[in-house]
Amino acid sequence: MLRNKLVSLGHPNPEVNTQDMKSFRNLIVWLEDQHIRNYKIEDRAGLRKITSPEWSKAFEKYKEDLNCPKELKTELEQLKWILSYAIKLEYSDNLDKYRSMTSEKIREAEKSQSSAPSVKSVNPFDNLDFTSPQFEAGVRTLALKLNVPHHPDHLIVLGAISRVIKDNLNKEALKISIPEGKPFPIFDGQGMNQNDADIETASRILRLLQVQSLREIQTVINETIVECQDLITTEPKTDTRLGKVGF
Amino acid sequence: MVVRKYEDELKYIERISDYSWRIKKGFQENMNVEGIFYVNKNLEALMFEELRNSCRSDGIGGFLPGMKQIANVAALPGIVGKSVGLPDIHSGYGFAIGNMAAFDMNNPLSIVSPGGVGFDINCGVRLLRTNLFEKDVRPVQEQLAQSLFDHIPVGVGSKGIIPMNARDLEEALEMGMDWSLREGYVWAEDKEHCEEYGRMLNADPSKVSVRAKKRGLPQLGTLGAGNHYAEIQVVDEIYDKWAASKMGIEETGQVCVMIHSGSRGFGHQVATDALVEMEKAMKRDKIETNDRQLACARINSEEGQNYLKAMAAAGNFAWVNRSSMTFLTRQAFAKQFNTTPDDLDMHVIYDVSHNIAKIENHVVDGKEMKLLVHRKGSTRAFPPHHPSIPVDYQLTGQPVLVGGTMGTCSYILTGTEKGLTETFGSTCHGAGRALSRAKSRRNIDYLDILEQMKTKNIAIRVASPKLVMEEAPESYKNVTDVVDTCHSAGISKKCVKLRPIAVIKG
Amino acid sequence: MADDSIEEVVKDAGEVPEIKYEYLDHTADVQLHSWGSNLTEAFEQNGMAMFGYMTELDTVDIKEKHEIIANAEDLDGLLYHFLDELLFLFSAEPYLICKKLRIEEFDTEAFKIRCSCFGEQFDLAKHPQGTEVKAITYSAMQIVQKPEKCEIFVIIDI
Repeated sequence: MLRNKLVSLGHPNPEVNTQDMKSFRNLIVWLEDQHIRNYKIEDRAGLRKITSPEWSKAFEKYKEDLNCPKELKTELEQLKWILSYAIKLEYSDNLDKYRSMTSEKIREAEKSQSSAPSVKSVNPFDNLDFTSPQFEAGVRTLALKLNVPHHPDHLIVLGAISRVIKDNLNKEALKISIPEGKPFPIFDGQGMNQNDADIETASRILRLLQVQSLREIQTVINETIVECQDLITTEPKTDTRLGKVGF
Repeated sequence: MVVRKYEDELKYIERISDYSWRIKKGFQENMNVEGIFYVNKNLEALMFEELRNSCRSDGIGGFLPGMKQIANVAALPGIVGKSVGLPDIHSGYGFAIGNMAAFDMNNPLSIVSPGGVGFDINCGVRLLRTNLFEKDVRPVQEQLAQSLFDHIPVGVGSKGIIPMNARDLEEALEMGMDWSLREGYVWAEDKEHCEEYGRMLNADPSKVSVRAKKRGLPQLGTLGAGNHYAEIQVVDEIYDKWAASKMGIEETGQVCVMIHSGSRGFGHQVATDALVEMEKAMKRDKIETNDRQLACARINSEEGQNYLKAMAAAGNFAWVNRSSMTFLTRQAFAKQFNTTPDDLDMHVIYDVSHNIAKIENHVVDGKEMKLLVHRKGSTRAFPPHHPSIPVDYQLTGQPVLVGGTMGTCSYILTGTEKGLTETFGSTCHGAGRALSRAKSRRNIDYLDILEQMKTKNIAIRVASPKLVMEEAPESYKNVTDVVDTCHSAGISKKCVKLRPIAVIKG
Repeated sequence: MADDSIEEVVKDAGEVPEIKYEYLDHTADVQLHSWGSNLTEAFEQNGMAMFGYMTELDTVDIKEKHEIIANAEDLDGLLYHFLDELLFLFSAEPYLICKKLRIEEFDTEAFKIRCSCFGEQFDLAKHPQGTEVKAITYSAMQIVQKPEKCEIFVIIDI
């Protein structure tokens, strides 16, 4: 609902995360600036200082000035009320424009031409039925093409496909040429002493993954050390007066 | 000591395989476990000749043969498994050089022995790679040798050129390579490729005498003398292409730098101090050994613990020392080629310790045990997937650096599963002396050696001419024999052979 | 001691004694063999043998005098500590390489030695480098005392 209201008000980012303090405060400022305009521009200063510790005070006063009902305790509830208030203002300011817009007329308009109402989603997936047999079949075909193993829940398979594409088929990854030569002989050498062959294979694979993640940790450690070296500690020097070399 | 005729001695020595021999209990008194040593045909002859000579001298004389020393170590309290002699074994102080032995940490009678570590604590080998090839280096071979010689202080009485005061030393002893890292002398990646990550955590500088610190301070960042060296080497042969590529070695002709050095006067003094302390502890705790040189103390005694903490500090000293010389080597190369060490890809391939005692877990008779493993003139060689080896070598096994002698080849081996079970993951460390120093001085001419180096197209810079004779290849066992034995016996695997083109010595 | 002028030190040192030591065979290390008409002389000569292995003593001049004291619980221990003190004199301040040793006090009851050491600071520009001595060892240590001659055998780890 929140999203639809934001779309109808023409917010540039209707997916805004209202849980995030910064985004929330920005949204309030945006509503006042663009739609509500309860204050004169110079009086909006308090609300605009979204990083200031005083912001909450300004927000309290703002709600009071708007006559926001005191029963609304959470910020989300308050936001919803302020949004509705903004829509109400928008409606009453353009009464003539909106009065004629009944749902029937809109449906007709949709049929006759593609001039979509502003609520229409731009994301094509929103209109997909993820549970339909066609969708599942599509996922299965994609999985087969990308060598993603089978899982009864095709949505989990879809998640895996997404990871394969993101990790292995992104622009950077595609630039790396496929290594030539023999693959690592995972079944040679010291095993993991598992009786079950499948568990043994899995353990050996996990062992390799562990090596990889250790390497990543070690690299981060090294980078941190180098940063510290650069920042504070190092000034390597030699003083040949202390000893004699090359005689 | 038991004195028998040579023929009678032989009854206690039994062939196990083409490359190994068993020393049965009774060869020396009180043996708790058997001994084993690894030799091929050529090295075997040397070993048995040494034993025969000692029989002739009726047990009186300078030293015990290696086989007897292995057996005396087998008689120490708390030893488990076997007393192991590696192919480069030769007679040394207490333990033979090339002898490893493990002691059960949970046995209250188990001992730690400075003689099982050696005077040069954490003496070891470090190998740096470069992206240069022989053809790049040959034209400037002499200049590069001189440049290394101009950067690294070598020989008796030389002093380090990295500014250090007493407080720096205390910190370095505690922190090991972390100190070098903090001060900016090494790269973050270097630490990863060192045993113990270049730092023994149990180091306690307060357990080290003032005398050791005074000897150590001026010598930090110096190569030393004796068998220590810095060599520019080229890859001569690759046996295991895959493992070599994991080390950044791609082709023959690639240039590497090998640094062989230890903890200098600092470690020597730590060992000396501990031997004096332990003589007293032995009397007090009534520890009996076959040889007075095997001075030792119970691991859990105050002397034992103090030694382990001081030894760890000496270990750290050695890592800082090799790190300082790594810094100087990188500088020398960067200046010569007018570029940066980064652009020359001068990464540390690995850094091994071949004189050290470490606490490790091993499986003995199907049971996991916590052991104090002494390796004297022996290199740790852990197999693939061992938790103690760096992530980059998890699949290849630990690189083992085996330094040759002046003008001969060096090798990179990798650890094996068989080595882990048979020798507690230990293998050879170098060539091992065959001729005594005095004999070398008498029989070998200084100029002949220099001529020989010239023929082989090896640039040489040496501080002491006498040393050239003592360290001549003829004075040592053939390193190829030593390495081939380890490979054939399966206790480590050949990976890369390196040949020197420039030698810097004390 | 440091206040003494070089002339005074040289005068104090007197004659440099003749060499009564040699180096014997040992696989990895070196055995110092020294002798003298009495224990004191054999000890002094053994110390000189050790310095002789580190450089050519002909190149060393007498410029400084330092004193060392060694204590032990038996005669072998005394020899060991005597040599260890001398090694320390070389390895750290004052980095002294000795041309002459003179034992001033040799107590064979309390096992104590006081010795004057004459030489100069080791200088790479002046003194050729011999071999580095890592440590003194008890290995095959022998002190042979006869009425007419004393002999000492010590293996040093190098």
